[in-house]
This record gives sequence, C-alpha cells and structure tokens, in this order.
Amino acid sequence: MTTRPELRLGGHLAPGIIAVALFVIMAVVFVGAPLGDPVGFDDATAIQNETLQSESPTGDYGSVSANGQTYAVAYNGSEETANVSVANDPGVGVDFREVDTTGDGQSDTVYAISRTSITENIGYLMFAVDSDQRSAPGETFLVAFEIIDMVLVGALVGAVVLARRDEGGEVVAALGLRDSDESPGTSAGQVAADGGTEDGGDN
Amino acid sequence: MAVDTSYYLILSAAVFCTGLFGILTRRNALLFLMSVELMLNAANINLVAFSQYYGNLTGQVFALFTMALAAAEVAVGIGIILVLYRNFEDVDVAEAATMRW
Amino acid sequence: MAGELAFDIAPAIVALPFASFLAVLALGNYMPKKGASAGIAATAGSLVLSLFALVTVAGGSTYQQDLFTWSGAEEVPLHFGIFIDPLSAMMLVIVSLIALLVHVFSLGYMNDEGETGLPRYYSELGLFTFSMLAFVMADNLLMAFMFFELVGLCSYLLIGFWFREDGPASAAKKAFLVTRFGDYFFLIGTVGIVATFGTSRFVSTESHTAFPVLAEEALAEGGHGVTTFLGFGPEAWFSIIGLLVLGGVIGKSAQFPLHTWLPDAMEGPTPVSALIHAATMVAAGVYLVARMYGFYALLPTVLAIIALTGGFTALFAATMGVVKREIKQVLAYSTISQYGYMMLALGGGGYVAATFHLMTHAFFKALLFLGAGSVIIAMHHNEDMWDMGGLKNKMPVTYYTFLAGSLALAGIVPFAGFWSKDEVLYEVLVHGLGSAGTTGTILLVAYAMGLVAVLFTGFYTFRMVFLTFHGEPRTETARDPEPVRWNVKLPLVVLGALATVAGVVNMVPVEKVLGIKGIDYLHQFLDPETELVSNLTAHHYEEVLHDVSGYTADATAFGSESTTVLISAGLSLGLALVGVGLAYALYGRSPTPEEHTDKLGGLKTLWYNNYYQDEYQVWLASGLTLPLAKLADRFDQGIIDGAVNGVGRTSLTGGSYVKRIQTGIVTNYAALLALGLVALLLIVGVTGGWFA
Repeated sequence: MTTRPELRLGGHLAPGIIAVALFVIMAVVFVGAPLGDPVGFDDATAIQNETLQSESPTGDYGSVSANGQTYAVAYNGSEETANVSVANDPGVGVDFREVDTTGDGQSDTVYAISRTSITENIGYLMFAVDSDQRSAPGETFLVAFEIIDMVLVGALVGAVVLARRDEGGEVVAALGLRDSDESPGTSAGQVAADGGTEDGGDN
Repeated sequence: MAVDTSYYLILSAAVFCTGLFGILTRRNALLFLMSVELMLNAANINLVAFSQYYGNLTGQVFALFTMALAAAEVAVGIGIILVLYRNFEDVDVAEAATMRW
Repeated sequence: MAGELAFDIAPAIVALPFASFLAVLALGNYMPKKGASAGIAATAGSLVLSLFALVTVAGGSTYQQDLFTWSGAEEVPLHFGIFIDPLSAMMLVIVSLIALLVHVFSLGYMNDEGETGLPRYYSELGLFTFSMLAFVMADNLLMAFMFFELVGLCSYLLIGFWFREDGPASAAKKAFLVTRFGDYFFLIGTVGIVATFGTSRFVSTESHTAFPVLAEEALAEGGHGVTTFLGFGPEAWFSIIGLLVLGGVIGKSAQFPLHTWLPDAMEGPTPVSALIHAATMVAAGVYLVARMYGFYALLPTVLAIIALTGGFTALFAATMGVVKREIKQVLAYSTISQYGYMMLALGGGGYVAATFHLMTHAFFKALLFLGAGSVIIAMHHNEDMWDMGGLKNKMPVTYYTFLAGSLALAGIVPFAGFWSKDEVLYEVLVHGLGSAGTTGTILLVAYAMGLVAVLFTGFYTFRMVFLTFHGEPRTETARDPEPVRWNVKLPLVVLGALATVAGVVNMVPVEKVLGIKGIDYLHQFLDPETELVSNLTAHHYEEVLHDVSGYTADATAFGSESTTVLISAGLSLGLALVGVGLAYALYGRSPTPEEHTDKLGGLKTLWYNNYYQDEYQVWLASGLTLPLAKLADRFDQGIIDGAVNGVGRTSLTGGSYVKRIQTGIVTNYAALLALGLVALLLIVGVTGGWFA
C-alpha cells in the first residue's frame, strides 16, 4: 500500500562510491584551484575600448546609462546623423537612440549605440534583416545554429524510425496510418448477422 | 558581487556526480536517461561559468547548443528505450545483455 | 630451297600427333576405327616429314629456330625452340616410324580383340608420340625436361591402360614413381645448368652459346665465365650437374638401380611396350646423353660412371632374362640390357656406336615386341612360354620376322644388332686399351661385363625362340592358335626387313678389315661439316674426349687395326654363338624341352626374383623412408603445428577468461569508465600537484 517513494538501500549502491569519490576529487581540486576574479561582462568598458575608439568623426565617445542600461556610445553633438560608424569592429552593429540626458522629459541627444548582443545579432542574421550590419562572428554562430538544427531533425527522424514496431508481422510506424485495422464482419466463416453462420448453421 | 567561479565548478561537479551515481546504481533505462541529462547540464553549468569567468559569450552560446543536443539525445534515447521495452518487455538495462560474447 | 622447306614445316612433325591426340580425345568414338585412323594418318605424316628432314640434313644442312620465349627475356631466357641436326633427324625418323607401325599393329592387337576404351588408347598414343618427338626436337635442356616428363606421364597412362585391374594400375604407378625419382635429380641438374651457364641450349646460335661449349671454355680457362656453387671448382661442379642429369637418364632408360619399373611395365598393352622400349620412353634417356654428349665428354668421372653403370646393367639384366617364363618379361630384361650397352658405349667414348645401337635396337626390339604381341594374340593372351611351343609352322610370318629380330638381338652376323653391338664393344675396348690409368681399367672392366652379357643375351634370346616356336605344342591353345591379320603382319615384315639390313648403314668392321673406304655412312652422317653444329659432331666429341677426359683410342693393341676389329667382333660373335648353341642344346634339340633353369638352384631363385631388387627398394620405401617421413610428420604435427596451435589455443583460452569482463550490462561499463577516470585524475592530479 506504499504510495510514496522509498529510498532503497543496499549493495546495489556500491558502485556509487565511485561517483562520490569523483566528486570529492573534483571538489578538492576546484577549491584549491587558483582561479582569479571573473572578468564578467562590463559592456561599456569593453566596447568603448575595443569598438568605438576614435573613429567617431567628432572624436567624442564614452558610456552612458539610460533606461536602466549602460550603453557604449559615440556621439556628435545634437546632429541626428549616420556618420557615426564603428568601422573596425565587424562584430558590432550600431543603433541610434534618442536619450534624455538632462532629465527634463525631452530627448535631447541622439546617441550611436553599438549592438553587443550576439543573440540579437543571430536573430538579425537569421531573418536577413538589416543585412548591411551583418557581421562575421554572428555568421559563425549562425552556422552552429543550423548544424544543431540538422542534428535535431536527425534525432527526430531517428526517434520516429526507432519507434516503428512489428505487430503481428506488420510494421506499425509512429507516423503511419493504422490502416491495418481490419474491416469488420466480412471474412468467411464469421458469424452472420442473424446469429447463424453463413453455411446455414441454424438447423 | 560576482560569485566565485569555483563555486560554480563545485556545483557542476555535484550535479555531474549525481548523474554518475544514478547511472552506476540504477537499472531503469528511463532513470538512466535522466542521469545522463543531469551530466549534460553539469557541463552546461561549467560552460556558463567559464563564459563569465573569461568574459566571453561563446560559452553561453555553446550551452544553448548543448541543450539542443540534449534534446536530440533524449529523442534517440527514448527511441532506444522503446525498442528495449518492446524486445525485453522491460526497461531494465541489465536485461539487454544478449549481444555480448 | 628444298632444305628450308623441310625445316619450315618441321614443327608439323610434332604438331600432327598432337592434333591427332586432341581430335581423338574429343571425337574418338565417332572416328573410323575408334581413332586409330587419325593416329595412323598423323604418324604417317610425321614419318614423311621426318624423312624429308632427314634427307635434307643428310644434304648437309641443319636447323635451329627459337619458337617462343616464355620467360626471362632479359636475364636468363627460357624458350622453346626446335633443333634438327643429324642426331635428332635420325631419332625423329625412328620415333615416327615405330609409332606408325605401333598404330597399325594396334589395329590388330586392340581393335580386333574388341578392347574397350580405344579412343583413350589412341589419344594417349598420340600424346606419347607428340611428347617424344618434341623431346627429340628440343633445342634446350629445359624444354627437353618438360617433354621428358610428359613422356613419363604418357607411359604412366598407357601402362595403366587396363587400370581396372590391379596389376597394370600398380605397374603404372611404379613406373611413374621410379622414373620420377630419377627425374627429380634431372630437375635439379637442369636448374643447376641454367644457374651455372645462364642457358641450357644444346646448340650455339649466332647470339647465344651452347652450354657444352661454355663448359668447355670454362674448363680450358679455369672456371672463367660460369658460376659454380657450394665452393666446388668448375670440374667438380660440372661433374655434379652431369650426375644429377644422369639421374633422370638412369630412371628413364631403366639403368641399374632404377630399372625395376620396366619389367612391371609389361602389364601395359604390348604395342605400348614396343613403343616404350623401342622408340620413346626408354630411348629418351640415352638420347638425352647423346644430345648433350659435348658436356659429358668433358667429365671423365661421369663418363666412367656411365660406362660402369651401362656395362653392369647389361650383364645384370641379361642374367635375369635367362630364367623368366613369360615372353614379354624376357624382352623387358633384354631391353634393360641393351640400353645398358648404349650407356656403355656412351661412357666408353663411342658416341656413334651408341647412336647406331639406339637405331638398330629400336628396329629389332619393336619387332620383337610386336612379334610377341602377335604370339600373344595367337595364344589368347597367355604369355607363358612354357604353354607355347611349335608355333613355327602355325605362324610363319611371325616366326621368321621374330627370328630376324632375335638374331639381331643376339648379335649374329649379318643382322643389324651384330654391327651395332660389335661397334659398341669395339669402341669401349679400344678406348679402354688406349686410355691410361683408372679410366682404361674401368672401361676394360665395363667391357668385360658387356662381353659376358653377350653370352647371356644369345642364350636367353634363343631360349625364348625355341620355347615359343619350336618343339611340340605344349597346350591346346598352342596347337590351335588364333590367326593374325595383315595389320599385325605388315609392321612385322617392315621391321623384320629393317632388323635384317639396317646394319649396312655403318659396317665399320668391313670397312676396316677390307679397307673399303666410305661405307661408314652413319659416321659420316653424324659428322656433318656445318658451321651451326661444329660443336656437336662425332669428331669434335672424339677430340674433347681425348683432350679433356684423357680418352685415347688405341686400335693397334693387338697388332694392326684390322686384327683388333677382328678379335673384338670374333669375341662377341663367338660368345653370342655359344649362347645360341647352349640354348639349342638345352631347349631346341628336344621337341619337349625341360626346365633346365631349375638346375641353377638358388641362382635361379635369385634371378627369378630379380636379385630381390624390388624387395630392397620396397624396404627402402616402407622400412626407411616411411619411418623417416613419419618422424618428420610428427615433428611437423607436434612441434611446428603444435606451436601454431598452442598460440591459437592460448589466445582462445585467455580470451574466454578475459571476455567475462564484457558483461553486456551498461552499468558495469560505466563503472569501469568512471573508475578509470578517477584513477586518471588521481594520477594526473598527484603528479601535477593539484592537491598541494
């Protein structure tokens, strides 16, 4: 009548010692490993240093926080122009966004904002939107995505094939129509509708 | 405020060894599959942890791939288990020992 | 030019019997006379072409042509080629003539007797003739060896023609095995010659030098230009090669101690015996020595061995012939004996004499065998001479031709055998007298044996004649023999005439005594003055024998040359006549002769049992070779195979234990994997200082 799971102890757990031992070893190693502080993702810094550089026409660049996000920016005063480019970094696209810097509820400056999100990049690439901003790292990731796609399709097909089974000499596939269901009441020797047999079994 | 990387690693090791423990002690094929998933995800934890450690997004993307692969693996695994069940009327992996010597 | 025509069509001499063989093999049952006609036509064609070639050769031309190089075009070319010189032309005529007559005779012996399997018989005869003709024509030793083997195969097939009976089957096997034993040495010798000289040609051509010539040059220059092996000097090495080749000769020509197959070969059909003994198989051995005489003439040791073997065999076989009861057995031993004479002549420096005897023997031995065949037909295949007697009047043609053959065999003047045998003995005698030291002594010993054998030959031959044809018929069959037809008589008459007169081609004694020059036709024939064969002539052999081997002919030991000739001829003729007279006294005088050989007592038993040669050879095989082979087999099975099997069994046993770790349970594999990982991590970690 037990309905809840029970922990079954016994000799069959003996091989598990190996797993425990492995964990102990790994834990000891990891604890003692001389790992420094993680670098993390300080977007603005990285982009400021690596991407925008001084290629902005006015030579003014920096980071700015707005809407809870930190952006890497290059700006040129108040002009809404597209001549802010990030020429040397193919991995980063550029967006333009109006930002309220004075806090008076009015956007007063247009910033050039680099897109750093690879996932976002992949999305653009996948649907061929904004094709002039396509960039190489995004492309390699896209290739990987497509490979995964293939693998998944393969797995699906494999699963379907594996799920085929033999039933009474007949192959039944997971995706097949079960047309082997016999139509009722027509084969010879079966009971006729009136309770007798076809060859006159009522005498 | 960042968590020290070694904690991620220990977590990952714990998850991995849990999966390994399952594989070593269980005989149910479905539990096997789950254990294998655990081990795969332990690897994912590592990928993400090191992605953060090096400040490189590649690891995170790779974790995504791993999840996709895991899905594929589960599909195949389930298929195998189905066949196993059909042939042995059971999902006990110890039963399927007829193809040894 | 006519000469070239004869040579251009020479390959047809060989091709015709081969075509007959193929045709009869395929279609024999549908052919007239079950294939005999095809065989007769083919051999007749060969005979005509051979005669044509003979006439052309007599006109002073010879012919050598490479037909086909089948291996080693660069380094050591191995090829088929034909070579027609006086020796081979003469042999071609003999072989094709005897083959033709044997075919005709077979009509009477096989067809008329209602034998089955005749297409097989005639196709094998065709193959036999083909092999022998090709062997005769061969221009190199390797080709000769191949056809030598083919001849052996054919004799096996034909001796075992009645293979359903025990006797012929086992006789065929014996003939094959015994000659094969000799051929084994021949093969090694052939390889040795090719390896030593780089060629096995008998005759020098424009671009190649024959190996006897190379050997001669090498001996003159102290081994220059040839490769010797095993650290022997050229002379010793050449002797070894010569002896090896001689092994094949001894086997095929039934010389002691490999003669034992030949009497058993009488189990075959009698025409086959005639063919084997007169022209093909047995003649092949002697022909081979004559063919490469330029090589043997350089080797005094081998020559001495040849002479001794020949002389001993001649005497040895003649003694056994004395006591045999069956007519074909007597003939068989006489064959061995006569081939002994030929070997004696070759060893004694009488190249022409040996060739001459080869020719006359071919005629009279074929005649005797066919005559015996005729008697056997008449006697309903009873071969025991003691069941015959008195056939003289019943079958006169057979009797007179058989008598001519017997007189020739016994060596009674003026039949063919007298001239050739006399020349054999004369040559050995003069060389024995003239040569200094051991050579002379050996030759004289061999001569003495040959001379004594003449006595025995005369005796057993006429014992056979008297028992078969004279006196009263001793059985009912002999009183009423079955008649024979023309196809039996015709070959007998042809051969009878040849056996009577063939001697005139080389009446050397007459020439020397009466001083008539130029009637030694065979000498002249075998001594042509063509450039191509300048190293293959009789006088060249004589020079080589003298210069290299120290053979000297001294014809004046008993005064003048004619005295020596007369003494030699008189001795052999006298002994032959004594033998004949003895036979007459014992078997010819009384119409009902007794078995006088019984008086020989133990000697008869010894002779009748062939000196127990078969017994000791069987003992050699079963008592010595078999245990050795068993020992080798045990070594092979136990140690060689044992090692191999042991390795296999060890792996199998090991595997059957180790396989148990393959449980088939995934968990166990995973446990092992994980364990390995743990161990690896521990090792790497400890050595790499991770736990410090």
